[in-house]
Amino acid sequence: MSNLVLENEASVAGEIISVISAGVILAPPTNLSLEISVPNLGGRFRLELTDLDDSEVENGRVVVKAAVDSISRMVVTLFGDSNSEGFHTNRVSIGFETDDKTAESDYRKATLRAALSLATQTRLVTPGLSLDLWFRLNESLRDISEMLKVRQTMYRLMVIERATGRQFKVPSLIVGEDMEAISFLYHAITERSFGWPFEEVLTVSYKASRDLATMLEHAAQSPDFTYPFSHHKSLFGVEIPLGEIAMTIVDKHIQDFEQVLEELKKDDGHMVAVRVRSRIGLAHYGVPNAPRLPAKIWNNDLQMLINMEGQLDATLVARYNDLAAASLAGLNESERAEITARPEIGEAFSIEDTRTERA
Amino acid sequence: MALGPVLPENSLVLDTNILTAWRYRKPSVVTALMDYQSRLKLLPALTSITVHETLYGFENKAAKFGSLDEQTKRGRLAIEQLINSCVVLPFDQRAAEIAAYIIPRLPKNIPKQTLLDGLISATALAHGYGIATNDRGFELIAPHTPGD
Repeated sequence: MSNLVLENEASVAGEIISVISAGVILAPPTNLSLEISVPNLGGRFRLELTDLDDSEVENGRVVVKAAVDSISRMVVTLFGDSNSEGFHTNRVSIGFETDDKTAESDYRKATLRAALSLATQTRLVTPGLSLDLWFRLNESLRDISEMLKVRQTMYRLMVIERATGRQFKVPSLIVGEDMEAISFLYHAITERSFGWPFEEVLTVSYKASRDLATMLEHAAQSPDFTYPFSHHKSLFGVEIPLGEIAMTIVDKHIQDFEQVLEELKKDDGHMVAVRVRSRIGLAHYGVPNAPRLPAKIWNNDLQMLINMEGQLDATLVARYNDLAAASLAGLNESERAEITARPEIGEAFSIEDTRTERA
Repeated sequence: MALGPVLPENSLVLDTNILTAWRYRKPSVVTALMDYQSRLKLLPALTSITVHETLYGFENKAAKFGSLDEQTKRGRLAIEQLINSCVVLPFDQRAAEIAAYIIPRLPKNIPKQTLLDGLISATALAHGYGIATNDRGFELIAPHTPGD
């Protein structure tokens, strides 16, 4: 949950609370919506109000809930003072609650939360409740950055779901192997040909034959090594077939090459292991038969969220840039040079006279 | 440690020189950071060695003059906020082991700052990160890392 700083106290909020404090028990509101606009990011969200909890109004707390989608809700908690004139909001917090985890729902939440966090100011309006206030989130850059990472992961999962026709149950914690699978599958689906880190050693077994020895000698003259194979990726325990893949190990090194050649030239059909690695840790993958995305995959609502990506990234980076530049702001050139000079700690590593150290 | 192309999913740390160029708002660095953010949705990490080097500049001045002027204090506050907003990779046991391998193998006549670059390299390698740098010193280090 994030703490919010109100930029202007909304007197209209008091009007709602005055009804509540008069003892009226409100049933979950119907046909009311929470409208959120984020002017500097061009985002507008309209969420249906699902609940209004006034049970702690005397303690200065009212909770409003609005549906992000069918399984997630945004929770707006208004903190303030209750008196005979009503409820005056002086602090707000925003959180989210969910019944389940799906890629699309988490994507919507992450986008909404990142937009609220990066907004210079946000307007929150519920006309039916006379609620109208402006606020600004006070979220750390690190947390916003992590939100955008979650958003990207969920977007990629949505792409994989649409392309494969499957729907995944998203775990609370995505382990490294699944994160790698999500990235790989996403690039396979959207690019079909891409570079990928390759730090391991590829081991291929061949039956010893003179023909293969000739082929390997020929292949050795190329800087790269291409190996076709049928491939699938496991994601959350589900096997996703990718069809025939051409993997090219860039700037290859064949281990014990001369010895491998000798073994192959024995031409007796025994199995010979050929081990290949990349000197620069890079392989290139061609995945022509990876699942394909249908033509129109996003509705207008989702497309609006997707379109916010560039603005969200640019706004976050601008905040980081401002901090970096502020570290030198107002200083002249020599002052800047002085505080950005690198230390010299070479002596700590190269003690010429050990007697000095003992002393 | 391989000198190679940056892949779309490669996680990077900023070398101290690049961090400094960022603080000077060097356009090529600002553009590269925007590009990195667009791809990875996280800004590059820093190493604890770079944190040391960056704060050293302020502490060196404070030690020399007894205290910092108000403007420099504001600068220090900003850099602390920036550091706290970034992922910082610690110089841990694995990094220490890698550094112990690298440092004795470096040529004897290298610039002293290359030793710090060696510690940055060791930290990045220990955590599986690449290094974003424009410093040729790292070319001296690359052939002397474990596994090469």
